[in-house]
Amino acid sequence: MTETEFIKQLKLKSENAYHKLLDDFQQKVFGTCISFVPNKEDAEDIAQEVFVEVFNSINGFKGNSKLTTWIYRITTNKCLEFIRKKKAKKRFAFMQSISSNAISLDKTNYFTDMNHPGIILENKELHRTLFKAISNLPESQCVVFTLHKLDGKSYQEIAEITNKSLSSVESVMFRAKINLQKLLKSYYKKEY
Amino acid sequence: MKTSTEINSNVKDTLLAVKTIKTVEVSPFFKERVLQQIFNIPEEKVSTSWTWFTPKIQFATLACVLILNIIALNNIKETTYNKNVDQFANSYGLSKNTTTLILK
Repeated sequence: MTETEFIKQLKLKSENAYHKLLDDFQQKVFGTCISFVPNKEDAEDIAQEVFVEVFNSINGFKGNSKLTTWIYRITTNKCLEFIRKKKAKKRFAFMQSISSNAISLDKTNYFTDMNHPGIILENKELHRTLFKAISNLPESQCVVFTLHKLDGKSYQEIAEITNKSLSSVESVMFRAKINLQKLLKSYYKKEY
Repeated sequence: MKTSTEINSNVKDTLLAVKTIKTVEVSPFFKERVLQQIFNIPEEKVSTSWTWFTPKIQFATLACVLILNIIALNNIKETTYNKNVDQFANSYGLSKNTTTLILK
């Protein structure tokens, strides 16, 4: 079946087409989600939302990009939306704890509880530091760095997903690396 | 206090830690869960009968209704009710002025 025919079947809401879509994409979408949100339950919830969004918005898919790119775009947006919401919630809870003089139970400033089964226990602290530093990068840098370094996407794929030129992706990645080093240096300086 | 060499080494280790992350498999029931969710969603029925009733027309309709109400209110104020009742009373001989008493 060609991609055009497959998209047509998806638009017709064919159950078989969605079975195939999930077989082909569930691992990829989940992989991207867990790269952005290092918590298995949260990542699965976001991945589920992605497929629901694909189901609801497939009629609006004009075919200007590949289906894969479109799905990854939805995935990235859903992850960013989740992170933004969680960060806002954290900020609100922090403000509330200040105003009510209550001591917050969750003192960490990271947006989720780290629960990444792919991280071995001895490296957990390193990864916790890394994920925190990534979450403090500007959004565009966070996206490019996560998609390339954690999700293993090529610059070309990232350029298509983010609608940027290849050189722009490279330059964002360069700045992301520099900023990440700065963030980590300041973190380790404060630690000791 | 750590030296800058040690800090740099920590930074390097942290950045290299990316490579040690293993692939996580999605839950075995994920597919079923998603399929169940998407095929149980009641389809939103987009009503086509009211699509012509755009916000502009809605606003114009509201303005018309308001204007008609104001006109009607003004007309009621200039009441002709008493005048009509008097005419009716006169024509049927019910008016006090025109009452003819048989017993004078």
